[in-house]
Amino acid sequence: MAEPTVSPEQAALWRRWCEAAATAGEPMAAEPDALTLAAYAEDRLSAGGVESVEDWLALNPQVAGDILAARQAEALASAAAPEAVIARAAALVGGGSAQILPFRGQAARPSWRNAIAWGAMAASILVASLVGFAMGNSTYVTLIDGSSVSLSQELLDPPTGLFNADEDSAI
Amino acid sequence: MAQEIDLQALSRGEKSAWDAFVRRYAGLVVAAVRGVAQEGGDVEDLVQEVFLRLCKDDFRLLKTYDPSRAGISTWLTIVARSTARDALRRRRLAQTPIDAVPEALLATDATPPEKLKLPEGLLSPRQKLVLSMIYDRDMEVAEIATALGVDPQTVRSTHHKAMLKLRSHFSTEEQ
Repeated sequence: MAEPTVSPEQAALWRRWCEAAATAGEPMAAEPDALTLAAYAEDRLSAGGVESVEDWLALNPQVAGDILAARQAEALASAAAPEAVIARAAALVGGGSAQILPFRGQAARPSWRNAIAWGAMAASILVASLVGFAMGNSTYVTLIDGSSVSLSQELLDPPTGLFNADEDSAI
Repeated sequence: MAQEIDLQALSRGEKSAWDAFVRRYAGLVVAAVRGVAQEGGDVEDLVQEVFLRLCKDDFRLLKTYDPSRAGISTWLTIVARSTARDALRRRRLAQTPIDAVPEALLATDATPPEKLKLPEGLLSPRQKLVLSMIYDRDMEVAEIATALGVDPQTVRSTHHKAMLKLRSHFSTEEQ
């Protein structure tokens, strides 16, 4: 039989069929996974499996090249790759699993140390209160003393310097 | 070939198994990807995408491989080529501004097309595939024969019978 010539008439027939199939809403074959396509390339599928894959391949002819390449895969299996490519791909998986370090546990403290810590805290609060009371009391006594009157007057007196009107007029 | 690689250790994520796997099959992946990336794609990046796809999500894809169904070289070739093709398609889409897409392609047709009738099983899946390889992919008969695992004479015969059916169907339809 002669080589099939791609005549315009035959190509037009195929186009017409494709358009008719598309508008007729022909059920689409399910996309086979890579393993099914590989099994097809190795002639390991049943007759039904072959039909299903070929039905899908007819609508996805760009994948036909994959089948052709897969049939020749064994010949390419020993091909060498550039070291840079190997190193880059190998680096995708890190070495070893990450080591998780636990937090350092709190060392158990003896109860007497706890008692001292709490006692020291209470004593410091007490001392601070006493000092605060003593200082407040001292200030109060100073204010109600006689000398505090002159101090308060001094505080309420008009300011000197630029704000002193008498001095300004004298100038 | 698969015996050289400890697939179980590989799917457990053992670094030494992964390194051995990469060293063993990188050449095959490069060759497979090169077949797809002939139009100027960056082969090294595509190879990296293939290995990334194999190990990502805790080796999800690699774990689907079943040595009883197909050889690992065959399976890897299919995986490598489809990954590379998808990556190239994504890149092309990312580089195409929306303004560059003709409006006709973006428009949707509100009226559903009139449904034509095709006789059930007018063409067998094999006949459809052969015609699709010849007319859509411009593949040679020898290539198709290799892809289908048949001899070239069978391809010619399949093509001839399919054409007779189409001619007969459409000539009847026109009358």
